[in-house]
Amino acid sequence: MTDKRIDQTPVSEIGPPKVEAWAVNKVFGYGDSSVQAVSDVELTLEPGTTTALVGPSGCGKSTLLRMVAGLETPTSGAIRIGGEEPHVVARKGRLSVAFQDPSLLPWRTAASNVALARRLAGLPKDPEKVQHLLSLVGLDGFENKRPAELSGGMRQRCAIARCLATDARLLLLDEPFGAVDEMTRRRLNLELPRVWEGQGTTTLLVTHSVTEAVLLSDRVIVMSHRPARVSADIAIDIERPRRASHLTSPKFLALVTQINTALGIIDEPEDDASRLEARA
Amino acid sequence: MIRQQVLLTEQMRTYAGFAGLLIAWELLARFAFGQLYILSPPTAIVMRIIEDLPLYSRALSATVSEALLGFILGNLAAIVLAVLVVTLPPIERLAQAIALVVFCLPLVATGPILRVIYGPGWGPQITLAALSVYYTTFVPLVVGLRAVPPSWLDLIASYGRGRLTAMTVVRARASLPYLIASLKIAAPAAFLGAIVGEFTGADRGIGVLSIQAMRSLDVDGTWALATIASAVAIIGYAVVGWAGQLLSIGAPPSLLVSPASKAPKVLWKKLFMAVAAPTLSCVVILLLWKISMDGLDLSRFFAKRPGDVWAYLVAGSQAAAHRSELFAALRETMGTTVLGYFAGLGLGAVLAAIFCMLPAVEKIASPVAIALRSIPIVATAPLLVLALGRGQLGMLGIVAIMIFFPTLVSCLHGLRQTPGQVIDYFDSFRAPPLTQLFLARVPAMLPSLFAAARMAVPMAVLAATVAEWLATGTGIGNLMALTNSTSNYNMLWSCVTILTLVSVAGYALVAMLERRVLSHFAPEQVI
Ligand SMILES: Nc1ncnc2c1ncn2[C@@H]1O[C@H](COP(=O)(O)OP(=O)(O)OP(=O)(O)O)[C@@H](O)[C@H]1O
Ligand SMILES: [Mg+2]
Repeated sequence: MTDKRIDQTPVSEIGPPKVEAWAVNKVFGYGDSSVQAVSDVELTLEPGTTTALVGPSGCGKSTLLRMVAGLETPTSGAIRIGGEEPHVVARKGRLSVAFQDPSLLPWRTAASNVALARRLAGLPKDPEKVQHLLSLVGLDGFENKRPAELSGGMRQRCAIARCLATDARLLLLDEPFGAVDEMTRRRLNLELPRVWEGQGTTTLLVTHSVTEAVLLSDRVIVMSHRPARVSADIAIDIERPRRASHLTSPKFLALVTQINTALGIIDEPEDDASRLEARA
Repeated sequence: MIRQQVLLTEQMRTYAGFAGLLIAWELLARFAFGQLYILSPPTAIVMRIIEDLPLYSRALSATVSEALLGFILGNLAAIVLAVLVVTLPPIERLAQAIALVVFCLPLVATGPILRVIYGPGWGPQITLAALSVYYTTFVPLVVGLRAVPPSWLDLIASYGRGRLTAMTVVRARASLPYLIASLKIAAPAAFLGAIVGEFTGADRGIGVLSIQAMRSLDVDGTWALATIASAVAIIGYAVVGWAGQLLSIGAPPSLLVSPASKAPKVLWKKLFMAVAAPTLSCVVILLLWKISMDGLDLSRFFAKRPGDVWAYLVAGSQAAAHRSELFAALRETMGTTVLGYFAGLGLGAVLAAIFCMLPAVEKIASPVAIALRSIPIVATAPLLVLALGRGQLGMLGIVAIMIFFPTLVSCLHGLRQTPGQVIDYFDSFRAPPLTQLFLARVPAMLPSLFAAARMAVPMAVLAATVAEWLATGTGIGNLMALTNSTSNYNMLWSCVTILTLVSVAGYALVAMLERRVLSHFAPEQVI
């Protein structure tokens, strides 16, 4: 019964949604052993924009993203996606999540893992689209391999392809490139936004890389540890489409420095070298 | 190429191991035990099988059909129940309790009761076969259906899909390794159930023939029938394993781990779980008992209700006498059973540890042990009675052997689970083998040992009662046989009730100990 599609409107006819969060709190556990994972987060994602979420490990980024995806309910406060509750939007197959760990089903091939997303979202089969997405993430020739036969980075790319397979208008990406090597990561950083910008999507991206955050998004939100709340909100006004040449522009570097300052890493403005775990 | 060669030599070694065993057996039977009428040489057994082939094959086809039907029905019931428990978590405790009680029913006494209920025919054998497979399928399957990484379930939930999709898309497939592993064990177990059914009064089948052979001191015949039973059991085990390989389904990470359910944190919930839940389960089980007897409209003469047993043992005027008769027999049984239980467990664990220290021995012995493990020991009870005698020693031997093989195989499995890094770590210190064994491997083996110990409780009771029923003429097994032949159904039902309670209590005791020990050594196994 829970699996009935509520609404059969084709996803492509719906624009990217606006996401709003009011005074969202999340507490795990009870009493003495409770953890305040997210406190008093106010957030608005404008339709069609990309927002990056950065912050030290364990500051509640994944938790916030999971609440937007309807996988956790806030302890207090509310989240609305286009005016609807997250789990209602999820049930309509209108949002897509790329998880921190790729979570591919080990008995399915790369292609059938990607195709599974369409089945779960109640969409018709589309082998061509699956093939196209797989080659976009550089997995040509690996369609029929099982996850165990793929490297960690390849698995994560497969998960990204799966995330894009449903044409969802709201993408929630939790460190989608975490295990991908630097070179491929940069290429994907530049290519993938074209896919979702082309169709108009609202994107929430959790990342540990400040460079990636600036390169991909219209806005970077910095979260702090204890208390787990928003500590800075920085607009990125660099023209699109973004190119590799932007990486060295003074504006870009200034923004990277600004974010690193907000994170409290001032001495290494360069970028990924300053992996945030090192601080945390 | 090289890999193939290695495999080939390993196979050769296994075959060499079997061949050596056979030759030693032949020599021993011909020259050492020739006059004792207990051991038949392999050549004589083969001759006998060829001689009596028509008789044996008729009996075998009856037994195999019963076992097959029971296998299918029992496993289907287990699968349905497991899926139900995982989709509706609130019913879990109740379902687990009912499943455990049914698992702990003493098959020996259930057989005759089923016989009067069903009348003549295959009914009791099929039911016993089903009863002896379903618990060992149900428990691992629940574990397998649950042992799904939460992120896979998140994936399903992120598309707004519910439990049904999670079951069909993820859980069903993820639990297949567990299902195959339990079906492998179930194949010989079903055969055992059918044979126990035949022991207690069928008119045809391998079980009937082996009792006849044992009673007429036909040594070669008893051995021939035990050999046939073992071969069929091993073939059943192998066929299921082969089917699993064909579908390229790997081995599950762990077998028969305890069905973990989250321990509640809040005090009143804890109290509820400790007191109310078991009480509720008891009430439901008693109700089910009564309703099924009433519903089938069975005669009160042989189909006793809970009230009859209560009156017979507690409320009635003769209750004290009945109680003292029953408990005297029970005491007699329990002494030997407990001894055999610990002997089997200890021997299995120690031998597994020894094998683990001597890899060369393990390579040869391990396949032999796995093959022997799939032999339904109880089905060969007539043989053991011949070999070990009709006294307490024979019974002790049957109980110990019954438990020994599953424990050995389970412990070997557990020892192999020691994480490679841990071994590497110890190796990096050049830790002596014994240190390594006790600090790294034994803790890794404990979950498997306890799983085996838990499942062995009802097995020990089964083995002891079969031995008593068939041979020793002592204890509660004998009491049940007597009451059966004198149609004293009150006593028979009372015996079944008390034995079930004893088994459940033993099982619960081991499970409690298991939690205590594992929360110290392997906290990840206890949730
Ligand atoms: N299911 C849960 N139960 C209890 N505590 C949790 C749970 N999920 C997260 N937490 C806690 O909430 C806090 C935030 O976790 P979260 O996963 O959101 O961090 P994160 O910012 O995504 O970290 P990372 O960058 O390492 O992925 C952590 O302290 C974590 O221990
Ligand atoms: Mg995270």
